Amino acid sequence: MRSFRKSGYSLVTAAAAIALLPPCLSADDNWGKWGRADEIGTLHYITPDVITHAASLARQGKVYSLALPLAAYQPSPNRRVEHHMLETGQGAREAGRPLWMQDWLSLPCHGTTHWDGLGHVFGQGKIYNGYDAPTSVTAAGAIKNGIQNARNKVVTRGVLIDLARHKQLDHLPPAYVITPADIEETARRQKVAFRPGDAVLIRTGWINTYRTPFRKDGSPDLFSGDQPGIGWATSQWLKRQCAAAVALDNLDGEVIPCEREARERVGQPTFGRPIHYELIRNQGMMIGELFKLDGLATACAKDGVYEFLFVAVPLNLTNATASPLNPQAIK
Amino acid sequence: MRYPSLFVTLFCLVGSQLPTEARGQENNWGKWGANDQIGTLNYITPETIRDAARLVRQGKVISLGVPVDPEGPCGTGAYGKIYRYMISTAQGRGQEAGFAEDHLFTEVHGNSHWDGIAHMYAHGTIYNGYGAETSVTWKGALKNGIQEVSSKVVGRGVLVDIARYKKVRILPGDYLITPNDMEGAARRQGLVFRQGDFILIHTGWLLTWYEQGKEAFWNSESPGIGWEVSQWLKKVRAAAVAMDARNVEFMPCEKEAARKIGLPNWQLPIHVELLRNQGMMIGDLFDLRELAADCAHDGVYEFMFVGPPLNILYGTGSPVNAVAIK
Repeated sequence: MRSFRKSGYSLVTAAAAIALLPPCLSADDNWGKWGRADEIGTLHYITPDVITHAASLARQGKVYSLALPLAAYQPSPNRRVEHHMLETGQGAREAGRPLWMQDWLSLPCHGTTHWDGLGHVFGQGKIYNGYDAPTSVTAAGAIKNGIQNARNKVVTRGVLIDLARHKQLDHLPPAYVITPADIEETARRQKVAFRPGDAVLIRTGWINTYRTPFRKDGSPDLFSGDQPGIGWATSQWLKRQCAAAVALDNLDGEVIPCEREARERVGQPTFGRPIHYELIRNQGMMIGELFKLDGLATACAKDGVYEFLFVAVPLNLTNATASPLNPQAIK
Repeated sequence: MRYPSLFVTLFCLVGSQLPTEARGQENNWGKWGANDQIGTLNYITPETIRDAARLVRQGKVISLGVPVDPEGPCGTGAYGKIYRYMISTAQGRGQEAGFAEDHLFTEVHGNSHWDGIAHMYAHGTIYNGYGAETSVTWKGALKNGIQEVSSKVVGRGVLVDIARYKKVRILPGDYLITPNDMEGAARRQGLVFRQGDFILIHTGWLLTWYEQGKEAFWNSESPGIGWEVSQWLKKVRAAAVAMDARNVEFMPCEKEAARKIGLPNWQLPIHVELLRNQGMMIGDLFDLRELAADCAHDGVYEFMFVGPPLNILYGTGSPVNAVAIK
């Protein structure tokens, strides 16, 4: 399988990778690249220098939240978010004493703006970095690669690739495969270059197709059907760029339905999310889903600046496979 | 400069039965307009954010969130509990590819969290004079909801290490923090407060959870701030305040503070004063251990602070993993 996957690389890349890595390690995946005990993968590309440079991008003092409103959206058909009030202001005028309001969240960790953590995807009995899946991802959670390992890691330079705008579309069409050429052309047009450690945010506009959690007949809406997203070539491009993480404004991030080639490349011919498999399990790269990028995109289009300080630390959720987020783009 | 007049006003009000909403000068209601819903976060300007970003010199990030974990630290009663369960795992899946997923069920004020300014009402009203009955309903906090500040919690953070100033690891449970403590510690740390600061107060109290157990942590006593520091926070124009104890408030409460807010029998007067009267969010149960050690090590007690709540529509608070970036 590995030699087959390698065939997608240019000779130079393959030769360089083989030269740099000890022979026991695959040139394809990032397992072992940051040591056998690593649990954060490509977040290692965020060095102190990357952080100080990213902070220098906060020039205007403007902040954009990239989170969908929790509970107002039910973007994921089988993951319902609930916000319950336990104590309200009802009876406040009669009560002789003050009271506090209290609310509960029932939150599927993948049901709103979130990071898919490195414990999220398993296959061939392994998760990222080669940890044994059945003993590492149990009823107790992702005992290895839990999202809490990233609690102080996701502070870096963010780059917005506004592909929908570049293509002059409200949203990309369903099943559109985002290619490296798309990304590089858009970046050129936006006059922004990539650096190692970037969080690459790709706007497809797909969030605009969200209407309702379910249709009346119970079938999925356009939003949760076939989707634009990244395919195999872009997954390898992200690796070449040494991106720290990637995020999109739709449900899956990867193109749905998936490319047959991608399934074969990862050796999972029947698995419907091969890019998740490649990025999360093989490369150790978190995928951000359901990001709200429209407000930021409008601001970027206005001032022509597509890079910013990006702070998107997960909650310190012990052994979780994901975390709800409120990512901040600070310009 | 308005301080003397504030005291005169306060003096006049002691013993009076005036409802709080009538005391124009004391609270911040209307200060940022009749429609304001973010209170003291209005002190943050583009300039304070730019200045905060300049404090990032080492490229170091410190997380201030305690683990979101049923084992805690978290609440012990019906409130503040955390439930997490796995929807799917890798167990029994052999060689096949698949996803592991989890579900979180938590009270929003459970572990490290912001109390939003809609969290508390008194005299029938919440911050800025909105009626509690019509503004906080089963739908949530229709006014002052936590989503209003989803992009507002970015600025300069300062750590005031009272435990270190008092040369103890953990402040005693009956320790009431005073403005003199705040200014004395700041002087010792070479720190000058600025408008729009996020003020983090290190008491060491979180250590009681880890070293003495949750009963000690949830003792009836807890070090914290009282009436004087609540007024001092107003004077220095803090954006928000957070601490490493169950909440920022000295417990059991000062009787005097309860009288000052016109509710002599209420146990959490500083919450009423900060949240409802001043419109200042309170950060509870922050983990300041690593930050305090780091600041003591490099002597730098200011940093960029990014601690946005989750974007919970009409929430009264939010779990948070704030970060200090140095």
